[in-house]
Amino acid sequence: MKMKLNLCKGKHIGFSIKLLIVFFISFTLVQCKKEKLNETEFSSKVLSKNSVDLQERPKNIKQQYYKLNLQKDFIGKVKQDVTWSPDWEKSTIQVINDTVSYVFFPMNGYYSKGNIKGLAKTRGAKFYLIVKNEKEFYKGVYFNAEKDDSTNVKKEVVVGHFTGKLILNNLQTKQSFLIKYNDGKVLDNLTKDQKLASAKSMSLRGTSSYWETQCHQEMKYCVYTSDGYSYCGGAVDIVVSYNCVWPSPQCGVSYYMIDYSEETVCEDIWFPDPPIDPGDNGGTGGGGGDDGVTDDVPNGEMSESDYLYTCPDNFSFSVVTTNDLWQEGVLTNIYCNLGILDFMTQTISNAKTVQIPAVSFGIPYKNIEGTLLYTQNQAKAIAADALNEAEKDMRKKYKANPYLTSGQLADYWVARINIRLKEYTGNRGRAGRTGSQSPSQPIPSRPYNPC
Amino acid sequence: MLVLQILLSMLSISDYLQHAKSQSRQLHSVEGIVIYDPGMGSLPQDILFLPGKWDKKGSLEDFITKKVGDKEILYQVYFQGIRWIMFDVEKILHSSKFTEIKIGKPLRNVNVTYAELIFDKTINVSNEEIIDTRDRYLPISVHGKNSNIQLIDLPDSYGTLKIYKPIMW
Repeated sequence: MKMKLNLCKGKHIGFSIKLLIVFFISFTLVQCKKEKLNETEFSSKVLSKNSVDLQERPKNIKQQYYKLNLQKDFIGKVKQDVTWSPDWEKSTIQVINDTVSYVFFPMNGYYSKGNIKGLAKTRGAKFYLIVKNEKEFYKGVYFNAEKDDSTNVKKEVVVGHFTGKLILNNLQTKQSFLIKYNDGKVLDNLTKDQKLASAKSMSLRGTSSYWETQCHQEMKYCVYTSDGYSYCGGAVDIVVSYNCVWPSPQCGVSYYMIDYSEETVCEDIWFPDPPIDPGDNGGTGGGGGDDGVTDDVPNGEMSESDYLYTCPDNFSFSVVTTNDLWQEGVLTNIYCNLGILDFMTQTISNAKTVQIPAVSFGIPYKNIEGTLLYTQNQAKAIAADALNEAEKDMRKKYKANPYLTSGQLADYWVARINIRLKEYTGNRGRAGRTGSQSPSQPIPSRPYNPC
Repeated sequence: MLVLQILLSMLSISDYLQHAKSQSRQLHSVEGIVIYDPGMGSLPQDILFLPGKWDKKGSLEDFITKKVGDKEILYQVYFQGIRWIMFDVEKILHSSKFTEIKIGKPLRNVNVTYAELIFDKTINVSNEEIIDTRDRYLPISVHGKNSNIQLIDLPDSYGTLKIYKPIMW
């Protein structure tokens, strides 16, 4: 570089020398420009501890965070007594490879209600703002519990050598990913082909059936806060509960819900270059506690029940293929009365009746080895379950937009029955307005009859 | 009458629980106060639900007063959908012991009982609709004492209502 600079200062000599100097100057200018380009390329490389602009680039992240108004995604849906904000001074940088790095900012929850204000203590999960390549913003929630129970819900989550699940919710695209870890390492069971298919589905968001089959409503966590200072620790507690187990009162204070989340999580969708963990920022603590409201239902004993709970006249299935693989049943004259019910004024508005002339349910009977998969009574029960779930889905859609026509709601209901039936049968059953075209014997059809 | 109805309903509930177990469904039960408006049909489309375990040492009205004083949240729950699971839900509901309180503006009588609701919260295929999370406050009057209680739609995290199980009190 020193030599090049000397060349840039060439002196006036003879004409031929001048030409030579002009050539060298041009060459040197090109070289100087190339140097400059290389410098730019370097600064656009992934952020690392060795980046020359380490002080500047996290500031850009902060500016982007507020410019994109991403703080709104951390506001509680039920109560706003806790305000979340990234701890900009405690960032952790993680370089995955030459093209991917992450910056982690722990999220602090500040409680403010009446005269009680201050930093709350979070247990049950750990929240981070995770920024990939300084441009993709994620809400990261670390749960180190496979299942929620009274012993782990109260613990602080340890993220060093993390074992558990991370939910990564892209704050811009709203896509969520579930990544599993064991001792800080990503559990990745996907083959190369699966990764390619996943990558393709991610690029064709919303259009790929692969995407649809792999994404499901998985994470349902709730955030609770103690109603004032916990007498045990002198701080306000925030308890994050996987599966929404309501914390029982501790040390004289009760808990109320401030937020909940139900993510459509894409499990086994390949998330390229996932983060590892941000390191251990806390220890274990807290104790268990019984949940005062929600209990697991004790398991009943199996029996050859006749499924008395379904309307006996409503469902009837019979095998409709000669090889005993498939059974079907049709329910006709299905209807549901809906209205927007206002308990304040005792009024019902936008009332309508949603009618479906017929729905055909198909469920496997035996597999090709001849093993019974679903008895006819089980098929009836699953059909009833699917109708119940799908009706709730349809009602939710109606409530979001009461001006949808009965026909639109009927179509949605049928579509949801199919989705729910597939969900219940591991994608083996199906439901729709029409059934098998050439059954080996007539498909039983029953009219809906409210018992 | 109530005992007989509960015994009959237990049979169907038991059957459902067996079915749910065989299908690996994740059920959870929540006890609480159930409020329904008899003026809105024999099988209410929606009920109001205030979760909480009652030790039955005082009256149900006293328990409601305490819960309202504790600023608990009242949930609006889609109820009529369980007719697909419990064919006798209408009879069971109307056989349940109840008392009356007043809600709304103007205040009017509604029935209140204590029951267990069983939800299915197995991992679900999402539907994209957002529940109504607006802050609403419902006037409530118990024993002539007036106050307001926050009312929201039941969060999806509870799952889907499958069983209404009356509790004797």
